[in-house]
Amino acid sequence: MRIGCAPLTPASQDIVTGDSMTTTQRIADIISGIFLAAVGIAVILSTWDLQSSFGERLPPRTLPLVLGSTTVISGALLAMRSYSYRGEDLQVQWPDGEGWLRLLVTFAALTVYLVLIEPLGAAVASLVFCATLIWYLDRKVIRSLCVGVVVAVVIHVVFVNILQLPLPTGFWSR
Amino acid sequence: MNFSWDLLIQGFGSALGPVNLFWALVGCLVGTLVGVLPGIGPSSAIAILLPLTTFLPPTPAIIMMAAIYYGAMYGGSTTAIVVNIPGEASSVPTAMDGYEMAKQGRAGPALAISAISSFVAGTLSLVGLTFFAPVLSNFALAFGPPEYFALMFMGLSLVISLSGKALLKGMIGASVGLLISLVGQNPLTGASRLTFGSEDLMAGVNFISVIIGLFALGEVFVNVEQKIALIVDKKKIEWMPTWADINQCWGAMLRSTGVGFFMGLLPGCAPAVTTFVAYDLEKRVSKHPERFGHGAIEGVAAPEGANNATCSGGFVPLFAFGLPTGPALAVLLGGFMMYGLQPGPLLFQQQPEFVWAVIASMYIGNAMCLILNLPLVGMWARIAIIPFPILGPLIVVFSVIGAYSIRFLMFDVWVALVFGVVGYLMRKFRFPMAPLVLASVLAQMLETALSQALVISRGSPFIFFTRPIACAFMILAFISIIRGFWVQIKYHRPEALEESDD
Repeated sequence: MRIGCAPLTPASQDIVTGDSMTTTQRIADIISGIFLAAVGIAVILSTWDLQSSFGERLPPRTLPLVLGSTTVISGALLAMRSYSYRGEDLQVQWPDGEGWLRLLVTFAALTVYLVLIEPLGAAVASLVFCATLIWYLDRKVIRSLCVGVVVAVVIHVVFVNILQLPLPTGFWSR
Repeated sequence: MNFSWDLLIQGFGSALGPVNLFWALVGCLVGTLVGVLPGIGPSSAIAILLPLTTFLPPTPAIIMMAAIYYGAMYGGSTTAIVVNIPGEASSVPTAMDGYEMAKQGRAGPALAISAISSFVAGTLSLVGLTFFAPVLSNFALAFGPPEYFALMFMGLSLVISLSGKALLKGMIGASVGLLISLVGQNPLTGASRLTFGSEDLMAGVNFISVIIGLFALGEVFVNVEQKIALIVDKKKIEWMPTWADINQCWGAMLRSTGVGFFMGLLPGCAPAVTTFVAYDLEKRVSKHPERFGHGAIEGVAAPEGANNATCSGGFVPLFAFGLPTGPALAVLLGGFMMYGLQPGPLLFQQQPEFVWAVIASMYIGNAMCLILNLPLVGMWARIAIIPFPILGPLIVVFSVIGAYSIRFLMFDVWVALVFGVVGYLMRKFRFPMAPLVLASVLAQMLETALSQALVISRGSPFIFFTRPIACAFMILAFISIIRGFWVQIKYHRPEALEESDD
């Protein structure tokens, strides 16, 4: 459901402050309504080639078809109601520039962490992730390393050794 | 299986013996721990420990495994309250108000009330189990697929109508939630659906990943952008509930016991539905429903009470018919089998001392869990005052381990990441989360029940209206939705544009 923060052309009467990033709840609802209706249409289209054998009481395509339709209808209703709404409006609270940066760095760190889990093992990947992200958010090198090491030890001892969960242990343990 | 005081007292005598008492304590400890740790739930804990208990006689072994089961119910709320990671679907309603309380510096009272409510509801349900098991067990037999479908349909409608002013968004959430769980192979026919050509999606989307993503990761994203130092936004931190807090919750505890116990008797729709229904009921009977979602203490007491009541209620069909109502009880049934004990009416005649010792030990175990958990409250509540730059990454690590441990697939972790972004956007755009979560939890059971019901009725949907229990549920479901729309039309309120209370 990535709607993001498309550049906006606010409709005439909206109260828009001078900030760089403003979205009114009304605009957000129109966008999300249209987006969700599109998702519903995609679902309906994808059920087209679902085969059902003769005599099934509940063919596999029935539920996706019904739910896709309710999504389309409610998404469209949401967009239309919001479009025709003229009244006091709320603002979507977007972060400031620095906030976006922190959000993006966190997201990127998390993505890299997930990529590294299998090759490096859960313990080491978590160490790297914690140390990096804590350092980025906090700027305290020693503290971030300490927390990372503690997390790695807990994962290795508690989850891998004691609970015997088959977490990835990395390429060096093969 | 008839009740007799002699047998119950004999049971207490046996359960209070040092050996049984010790293993009950071990079970409560392990259960609480297992409930708190991500990635390992009561069913896997019992399954792991099952082979290790072979050196024990059956009574202490079963006592310990039962204690793990209800002990986990005590521990399960901890992460939901303190860091907004509901480890299982049933703690989602707890997180909604519990985490709000934690942010207000009231993690202590939230944790304590959840332990107290668990104890009260668990014990009251045990009384029900002790005295009314034979009568109640017939209740479960009156439920066939049409009734289950109608019950789950009602649960969903109640939760959608709970989104109040954002009813359309609730409808969308529920539809999308159901669709998410339909992705992958259909368990009944094996046909793969909604995979859009992706092989990874064939495995399906697990609802635990969805929950972890929406709640834990989404919350981390929202917090990280604001450069907050602490998730607690008040200077004043309360460690324990006041008597006023506890008094405020008595009604919630008693009502949730009723809801939880009766729904616990039904196989297949266990805690996830009951906690949502109990939360919904509390919000409806409350004089200040607007406080719910903003740290209402009853909003913590109700789902936690219902959770434990469901857990005790589940022992009725297990003892009476050997019918497990959920995965953890199914593993416990495996434990019975391992010792050559066949649960069912005969068990009460042939092994009364065993059955009553286990039941008596559950009273003691519940008290033990309360005594164990209350002192721990202070320790858990301190987690909330860890600076966020450290806590945030830790929440992420535990979420990742939790998501990975569902099926030991990286795919589930990636799903959690995607839903973290979805959860972030839902918070920004004021979409309620509860309908999406409950729908994704129920989807598979819902489809199975619907399909079985239609087989019974040979394809006629009127089966949901010709059977009295199913019909009552369906009518309630429609009333709650229609009433929601009626309220909106009557007040001309722009639902979508107002604050949604999720």
